[in-house]
Amino acid sequence: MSLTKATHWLKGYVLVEVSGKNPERLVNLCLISGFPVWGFSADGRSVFFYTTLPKYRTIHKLARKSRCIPRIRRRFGFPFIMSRVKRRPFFLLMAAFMFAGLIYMAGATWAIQVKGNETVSETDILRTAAAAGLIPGARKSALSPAAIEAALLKEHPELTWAYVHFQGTLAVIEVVEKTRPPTELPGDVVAARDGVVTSVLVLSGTPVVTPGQTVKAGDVLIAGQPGDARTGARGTVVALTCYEVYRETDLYDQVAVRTGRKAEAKILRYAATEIMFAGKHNEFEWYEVEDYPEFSLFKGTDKELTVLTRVFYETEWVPRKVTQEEAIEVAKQEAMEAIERKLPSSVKLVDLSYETLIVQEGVIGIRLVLSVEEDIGRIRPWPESKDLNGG
Amino acid sequence: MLRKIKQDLAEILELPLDVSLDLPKIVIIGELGVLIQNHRGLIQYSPDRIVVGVGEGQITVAGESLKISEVNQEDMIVRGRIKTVQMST
Repeated sequence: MSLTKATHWLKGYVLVEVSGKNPERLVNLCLISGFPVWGFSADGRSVFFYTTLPKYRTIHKLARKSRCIPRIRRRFGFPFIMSRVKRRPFFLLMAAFMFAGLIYMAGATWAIQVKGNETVSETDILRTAAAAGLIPGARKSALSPAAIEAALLKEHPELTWAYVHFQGTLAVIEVVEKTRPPTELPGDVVAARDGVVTSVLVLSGTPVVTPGQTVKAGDVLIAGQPGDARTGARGTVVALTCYEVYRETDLYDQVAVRTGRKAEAKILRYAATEIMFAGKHNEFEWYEVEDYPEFSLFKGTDKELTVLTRVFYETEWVPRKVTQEEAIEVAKQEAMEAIERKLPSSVKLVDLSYETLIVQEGVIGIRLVLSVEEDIGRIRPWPESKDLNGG
Repeated sequence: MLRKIKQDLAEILELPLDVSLDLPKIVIIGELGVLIQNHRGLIQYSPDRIVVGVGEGQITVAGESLKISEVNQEDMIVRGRIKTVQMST
């Protein structure tokens, strides 16, 4: 709504019907007198127009001059609404009462939300908050978020942080719980793999093996003390172990060779979006791609705009005989990658050896053996420990 | 003669003719509306014909469902389905 229309509405305006021999003369007199008039229309017998309420009250003088009869057909604006409302005092009273009630209710908390809890139940948190005064219907001005937070941290030692804030009539309680390290059950230290023991470090329990001894997976390395005393074994047992992997590879390979055919496309690239605006889409089954930038704007920014030519070179697979040395290198690399995936992070490489085998015509095999030193001990809990702990 | 001198002077000094010679200015917006500036009052009004006085003549706007949406002492906007705008002196 424009400012003029808003002003007219506030002052009030009317739709006037003018009938008579010369309504145009009345319009001209209104214009000369500075009347604001607008929205003219006619229905053949009368002319209709809008004017403001204060000005209409003075229109009769002009109407007499032009020998026309003006009548109000409709009324618009704030003064008319107020006059209707004044005749209904109870309506005004109820409206004021409702407004006051709305303001009052907006100052209270009507819903409470809890976020971030995992082990502590929402019911417990709400109960503690309620004891500190945070209940639905409580006045926000009477609540102290700091006191509620302190009560939560005191009542629930599993919590490390609590924050209470309001979003309108919603109270939000955000909590963060403490993270405890996993508890080890008592048991013996046993070997996770076969190996030759090189060192034993006992923190608690009785050592069963000595350096130089060969152990198998599952053998007890450090014994704990079950029974009433229940002291679990702890310690580190380092042993020399082996990892072995076998890989085969062909002496024939395939390489991609360009056929000479190509297709070009012009690409407009903006950030991560590409649009092809000229050229053809790639139709080759096997191809290599190369991009040749033509020019760039805003280089180095995240809004870089680049025009480039993308060339698709058709390729075909051509068989090629691989030398034995090349085949051995490929197999060794694959074998190393396979072994490294199995190795724990804290190992010390002692020795690496490989053996080449001709499996059949055109196929060569590689056996890779890695000798490492690593901690092979792991805790095997006693059966009673699991039962007592619900295992 | 005086009018011719005034017109020549306005052209030489590159003054707007409608202001310097007190002429009406009519702007027609398709068949939707007509703006008439520097008018002299309403002569005739009906839904299919509006006659407005200007300077030394009058402007007749003929069409259908014609309404004067805004008017003041200087300008007038006629809206509706405009068919002809005619100026006569």
